[in-house]
Amino acid sequence: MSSEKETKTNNFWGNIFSRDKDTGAMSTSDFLENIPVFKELSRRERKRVAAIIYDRTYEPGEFMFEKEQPGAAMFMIKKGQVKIVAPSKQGSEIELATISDGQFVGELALLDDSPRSASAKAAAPTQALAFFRTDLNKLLDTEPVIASKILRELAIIIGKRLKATNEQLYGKDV
Amino acid sequence: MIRTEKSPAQKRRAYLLFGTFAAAFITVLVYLFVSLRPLLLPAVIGGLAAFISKPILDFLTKKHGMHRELGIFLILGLFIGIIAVVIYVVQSALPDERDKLLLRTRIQYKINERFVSFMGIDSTGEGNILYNFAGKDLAKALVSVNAKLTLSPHERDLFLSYAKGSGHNPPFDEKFMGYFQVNIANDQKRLAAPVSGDPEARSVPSEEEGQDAGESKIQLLAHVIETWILMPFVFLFLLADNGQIKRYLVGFVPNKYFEVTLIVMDKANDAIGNYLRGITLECSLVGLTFVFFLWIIGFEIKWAIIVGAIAGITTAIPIVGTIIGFIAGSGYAFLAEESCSFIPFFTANNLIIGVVLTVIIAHLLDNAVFQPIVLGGAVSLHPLVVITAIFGASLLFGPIGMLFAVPTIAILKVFFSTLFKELKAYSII
Repeated sequence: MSSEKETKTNNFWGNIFSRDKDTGAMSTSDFLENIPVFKELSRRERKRVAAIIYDRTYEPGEFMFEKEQPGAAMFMIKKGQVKIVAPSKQGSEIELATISDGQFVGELALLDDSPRSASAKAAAPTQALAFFRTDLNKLLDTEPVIASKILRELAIIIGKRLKATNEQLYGKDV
Repeated sequence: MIRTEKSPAQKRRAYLLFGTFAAAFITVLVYLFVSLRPLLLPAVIGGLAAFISKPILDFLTKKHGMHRELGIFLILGLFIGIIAVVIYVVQSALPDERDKLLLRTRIQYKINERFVSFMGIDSTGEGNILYNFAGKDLAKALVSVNAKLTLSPHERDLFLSYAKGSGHNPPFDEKFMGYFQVNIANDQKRLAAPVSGDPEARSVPSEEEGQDAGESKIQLLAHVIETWILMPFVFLFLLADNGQIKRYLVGFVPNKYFEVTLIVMDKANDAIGNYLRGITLECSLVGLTFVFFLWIIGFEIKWAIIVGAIAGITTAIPIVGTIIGFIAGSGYAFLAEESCSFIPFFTANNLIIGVVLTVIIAHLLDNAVFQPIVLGGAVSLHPLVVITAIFGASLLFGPIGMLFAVPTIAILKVFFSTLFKELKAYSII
């Protein structure tokens, strides 16, 4: 905990020009290599993205986001466990999925601010990274190569999920 | 390192601790805000300049591949260069002792001359209808103004020595000697006149009043440097910041408000940035319009630039800005002895008509072209809010407060409208 605080303090007060030497950003950059959305990025490009990603820590029971709220960010689980839940007609929660280390959730928020289709709730102490749509949009203006690689991977992921959904609904013959 | 779940007692202690620190922090902040008020303006200007310059830095570094550090120092150099040019222009326009004496003599003469001509006062002391209506009140005010402008005996001696010419200073024009003598004659009449209600009107400035305090100039310069040295540092560090400050502050936001905070910050940042860049562009365009038309009607280019700069900067104050532009322009027109107009109609005597036309053209262009194009009506404020903000800020912070009142209100409006919209969208309120 104290080293985390120290890194945060150094990020702020440290040499304002030496962002590449930021150790926090380096570890985030390494983590991004294993996230499918960022897998096509080079090491330098991942560092660039790591610099605009936010670190968050969630206690068990805390919501990352809630159903019907406008989507703004995609969350990647660094460590911990998150349950995807939706309210049932009876008022209780239905558990739709559980995601853990190295997985991500809420990626559709990178495309638009349509309401979330389910809630994400931490099931254990969780460290997550948040990547915001507004930052992706800024990347499109300032570093279009990086942004187009991310959007291409996102399109592939969404396409695969659509196929899987079709198969579940209509069987493999469709 | 992931924390284990906190107990209710731990949470209570945490709330108490953070609450105490927050209250102490706010108290210190308010105290510093009040105590360090003189530093507020340089910090605000440095911050605004950095905010406005960010897209230029992005353009240079991201789109043209310039090294970030080089881009920052290039923009810093440009910023310092602009400040240096402004200081040089202002300093060259500021009169020295010789010019001050000449200027006071000319103003005193011109005011009395224009008053007589405007009121139609003839040799018998009778005037036109305006004189009969308000002449006596205006004459009292004129006596007070004369008392302020009158040269002390020491200054009269100085004037006469400068009039002969010395070193690289040429002698004064004969007509100014004429003005000097007419002023002395008027002063003698004023002092011999029956006692008026205002004792100040009968006074002649003392020796001390007429002399500049030489040592205070160094103190003034030191004070200015001490206060304004902050501005380039604020500008540099905010321009060089690559989101670190925002990330640091967002680190303190509870998870529940994390997404909404980022959304509000981004939307408000975009809207405020667009507004500030828009208003800077609008002020520049109005200033350039003033410079161009004043130069065409016969202003000296140096004075056209100075009046244009004043009119441009004060465009940020709706309504009042136009009036200040007019006052600055008519001040020059009032004192002009000759004009070098490109339009034959304009002479030194009717230059005020040109100033009025310039103000009207600049005002129309601003309302019909500049504002719709560069601001697009994005931040519209009710006139009553504008007037209240201007007068309120002038009472609290003086003329500088007037300048920043409307942009501040506009920024707050954008921020709070975005905040409430997003808080509703996230079902927080």
